Amino acid sequence: MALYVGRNGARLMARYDAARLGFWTFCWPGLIAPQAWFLYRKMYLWAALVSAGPLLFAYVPGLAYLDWGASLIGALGLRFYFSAAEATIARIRADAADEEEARALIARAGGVSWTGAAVGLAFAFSAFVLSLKVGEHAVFGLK
Amino acid sequence: MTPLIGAATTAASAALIALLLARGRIAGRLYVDALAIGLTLGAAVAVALAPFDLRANPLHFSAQTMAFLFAGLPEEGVKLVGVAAFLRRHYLARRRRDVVFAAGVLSLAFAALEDVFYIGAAGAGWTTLAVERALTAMPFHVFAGLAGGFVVASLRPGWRGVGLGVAAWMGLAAIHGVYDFAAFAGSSSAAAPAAFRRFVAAFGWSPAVSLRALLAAGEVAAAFVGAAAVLALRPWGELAPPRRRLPCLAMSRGLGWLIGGGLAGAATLALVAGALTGFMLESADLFFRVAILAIFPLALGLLFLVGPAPPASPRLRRIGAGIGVAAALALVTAATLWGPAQWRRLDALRFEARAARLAARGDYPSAVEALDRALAIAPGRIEALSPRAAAEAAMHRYDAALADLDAALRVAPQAIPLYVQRADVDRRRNAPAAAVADLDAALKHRPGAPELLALRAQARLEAGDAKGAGADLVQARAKAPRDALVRRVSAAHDIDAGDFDGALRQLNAALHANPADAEAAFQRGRVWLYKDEPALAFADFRRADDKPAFLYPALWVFLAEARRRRDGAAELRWRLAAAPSAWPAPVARLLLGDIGLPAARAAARDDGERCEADFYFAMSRLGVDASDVNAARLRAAQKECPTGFIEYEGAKAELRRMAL
Repeated sequence: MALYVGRNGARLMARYDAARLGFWTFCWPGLIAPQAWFLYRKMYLWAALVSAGPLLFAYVPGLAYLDWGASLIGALGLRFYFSAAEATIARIRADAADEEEARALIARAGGVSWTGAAVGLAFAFSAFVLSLKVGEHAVFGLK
Repeated sequence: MTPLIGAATTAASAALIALLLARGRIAGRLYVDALAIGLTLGAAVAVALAPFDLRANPLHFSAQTMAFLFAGLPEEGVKLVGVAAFLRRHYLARRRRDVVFAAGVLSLAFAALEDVFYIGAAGAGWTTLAVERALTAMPFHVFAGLAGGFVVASLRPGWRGVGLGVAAWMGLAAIHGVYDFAAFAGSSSAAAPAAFRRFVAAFGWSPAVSLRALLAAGEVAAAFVGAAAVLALRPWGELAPPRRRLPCLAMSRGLGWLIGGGLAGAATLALVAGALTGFMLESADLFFRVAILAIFPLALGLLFLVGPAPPASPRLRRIGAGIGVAAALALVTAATLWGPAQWRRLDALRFEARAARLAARGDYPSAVEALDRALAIAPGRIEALSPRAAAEAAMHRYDAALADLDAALRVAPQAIPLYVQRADVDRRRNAPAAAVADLDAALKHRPGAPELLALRAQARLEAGDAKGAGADLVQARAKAPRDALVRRVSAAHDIDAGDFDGALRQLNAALHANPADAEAAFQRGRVWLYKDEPALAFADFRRADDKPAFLYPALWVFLAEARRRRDGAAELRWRLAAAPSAWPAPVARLLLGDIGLPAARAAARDDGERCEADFYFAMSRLGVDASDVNAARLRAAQKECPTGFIEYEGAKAELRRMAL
């Protein structure tokens, strides 16, 4: 797991151990910028859910409140991260020819993506600008 | 187009592309991750561009700015960054092929999300847009993505690699920009730039057709680079068939041949038919319309045929060859059996289209000549007989027109529009009783149809059977009380009875329902003039005067002005310049004082046109000449005019007003 986690490994391993003992693991970066955090940690499915999900749910009447869902999912991000990491590590170990290959693949599957973090932060900034524009329309009744 | 077709085409397009990409045999987890990354990047681009509101375009960006700066550069850039940052470094992307097909999957998800946003914002016309995007925009993104994936997978680390990556980005953005520029500039929301219009005009090309050609060129470029990226990954020899039965079938070469053969065959057929029909109709536009929808299905079909698949067994090769030979034989048989007839039909269509263009310009003799040639190639086509009858009638050759319509009715005895057209010719030749008989025959095929009842009421009115007309109108009003034609004929019935207020009620209701109903406005203007309200008449005639080459409302505008003691000569002279030779130009010259009544009557070709000369001259002289002279002219007009003419109606109404 430490090999998979990569950067910030000591702190996350302590959280991982706590999670295994049943403690609550809150993810502040996930709460504040869920898209950036999920992409930074290469959790692409969760990143898609918190990025495209609110936009698609906006077409369903009455589901606009799910905008907040992205942050809530982000807050639970560590729990999803650890379970996804365990599944990936198990899958790699099952397919790898030897331990050396398995370790190399685990390190490549895990780690962090700075580009992902940048894309996620750009998404968050764009969403902030968009919310200002929508808010301006709501306040001044512009069309 | 039904919503089912729109949804089914979108789903089928996405499913076929997804299957083609799955045949690249990338790991399932990589496929899912690529889909997720595509959705994330698509959402990021959508959110980043949303504040600009490019659909409404309140900042008035030009088509080229939107196409290159807001679509081509960011979309292709984001996709390339996604491939380079997430897919190339993915732990399951071990070969170049994995990166290329995963890039295709990423682009598919990106395009699918973009599709949802476009269709969601389209409103009522979403089904057509869904079909168009399923055949164009969605595969466009995937082909461009495959090409981008190939470039990223081939790059080496270092500045040289970065330079090549940037060059690839610019190239893909240029293709994307050209495609989107043609799409945006061809739509109503933005116009093609003046420089582009001048450039294509220098070659004598139409801007609309040039934009379609540009769109097709963008598609061809994207299909070419995408297909080249896939084919550069050959050979497929190492692809072993999957162990499980269903994936094995999905990945099989046989299924690839089946889907590829169907797609490529249908697209080729559409392209050939579009090219042939476009050539025959002398319309490049038609060919490009077909080509835009057929290019990507053809490219997809070819990739299914020659794309990734396990090697074919000798047995499968034999089966494939057998199916190919059978298909070729079926094609040759069909071409032998139906080919000559279809070719004649196309050839006839060429002359029919030419005749339609000539008739629209008012060149009826040439139109008849073209239709003669169409009928010599494919005798008995009602598509040629009906317009030839219309052209003959426009030249006052009513017997020839009726002969054509009778021939058409022998071919299609249940074609209601032919009976209506025949009735119209009969009314124009002042045979309203025959028109009533034509509409009786039409009503036998469609009993109680309100529009036919209204037309028969009009013919009966012109035949002097006001009671029969009233009975038809009662029935028509019961079935379609708000129908514009029923209201106009009811108004004509009221005018005939001298009930101008009743006519105004009908026409007010018609214009309230449809303020753009020029015929109702023209008719109401005449009623106002009969009631000696020239100011109101003038306003309605102006409202009805919506066709520059149609001079009659302009004559009535002049009459309304004359009744108000105003000079409308300048306006009439300006209108006359638009149609200086066709009838009723001599009448306009008569009103302007350029020629006298004898010269105008001499220019007339029959009693109908002579009556028009008499009528308009008398109307323009009301209050100037002694009333008994004018009354005599109006009586002469009434006598000469076919009873279906508005001049007959006018002469009758004015004489009635004079008698009061």
